[in-house]
Amino acid sequence: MGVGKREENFKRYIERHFGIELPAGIVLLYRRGVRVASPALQNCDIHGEPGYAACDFGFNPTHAFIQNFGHLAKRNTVQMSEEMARAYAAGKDLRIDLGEKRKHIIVRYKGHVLGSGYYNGKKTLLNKLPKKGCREIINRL
Amino acid sequence: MERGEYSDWLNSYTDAEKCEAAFARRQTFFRVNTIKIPLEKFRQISKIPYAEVDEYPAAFRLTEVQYPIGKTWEYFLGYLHPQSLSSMLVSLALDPKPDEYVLDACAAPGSKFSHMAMLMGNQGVLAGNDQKGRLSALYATINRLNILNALVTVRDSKKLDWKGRFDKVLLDAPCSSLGSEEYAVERWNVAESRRMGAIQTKMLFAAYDALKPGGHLIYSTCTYAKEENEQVVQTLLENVPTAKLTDVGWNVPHDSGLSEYGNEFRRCCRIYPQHLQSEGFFIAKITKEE
Repeated sequence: MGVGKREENFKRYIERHFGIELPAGIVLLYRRGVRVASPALQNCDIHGEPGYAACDFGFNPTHAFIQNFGHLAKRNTVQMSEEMARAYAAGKDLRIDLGEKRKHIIVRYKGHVLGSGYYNGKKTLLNKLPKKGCREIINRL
Repeated sequence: MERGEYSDWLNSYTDAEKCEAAFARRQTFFRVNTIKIPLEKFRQISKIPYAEVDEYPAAFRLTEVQYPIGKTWEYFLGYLHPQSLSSMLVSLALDPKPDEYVLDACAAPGSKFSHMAMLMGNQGVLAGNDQKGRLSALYATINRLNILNALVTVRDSKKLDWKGRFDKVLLDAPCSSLGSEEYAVERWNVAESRRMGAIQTKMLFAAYDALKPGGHLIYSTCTYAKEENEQVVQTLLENVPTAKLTDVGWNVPHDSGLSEYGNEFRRCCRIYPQHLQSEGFFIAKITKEE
């Protein structure tokens, strides 16, 4: 797979699955993985890691990508109650019925994107929040 | 160093009693990350107990002592970043622009780095350099705050190889941290500052070398010792004729740099805790003449 193909595949995946179309002024590029960055970094000849990782090698979007671009999603999103949002932020899996199809889901609360989860088709949304990002939330929005 | 001895030493710089009392009572500040949320929207949604710091856009002060800001939705969502007010002034002093090449030579954990990204509107090239072992904190900041113009590099900050590549450079050098860490004084003595000063000098020469002619460099530390501040800058000025101290360019309560190193050092800023109810900082702005 040549350089350029992976970014295209990831772009196609997020468009098809979530309906996310990246706005102008944001680019995907390949440097040891697909990364999301500002356009000036495309032609920068200083050796380094531009922007941040957009997905893993299976094209699963990273938590950072989802939290920063998930607001652009048109489908496969779910709104949480306050109680469930707190449980999600604490890293817990959630009991929820989204049908029988397994799929990645963007988790929202009051319109804010918390992150994503993997719905297993058996009424459980598996939490994909990185362990270091999990925390007990003490306030309200 | 013993506390009493430290106070005597500190009195040679500022009113030690005022300084230590203000440090003990220093306020907690945070910066709203306008990359992810406009200020107006933050004001609408946030119920954190805060007061805005009028003079500094996006700077907020917690009005409730010990409020656990890291456990808020706003932190979780990347809408804010805890950062001392004096630390914010460092990036404001450099004033990075969206179309520029900017280097943060010691970027981790990324508070000033992410502030610069915000000031650049997430555009241009913002290189963040540090040692490999310190990068995880920098990556976490980049991810959480959506820093898209970041270019993370791993170089020895004493041996950078980017001659004349950057419009602006920030060197917030590792230091004895007397202005920011509560217990730093217990493991510190003047000899330690001399040792740090030698390392900081090498870093400053390397950072200056990375600067384009006509470019600006900010050298900062969060300590008071002249061996890590004026003396480091003086070594550069004495050895590099194109390096000139310039005014930092804002009107913030501060003391001038120590004039025993020359009148031009009055252009440097010494921010003590009593000035802003925040951490102590030294800030020098250096221009590379064309």
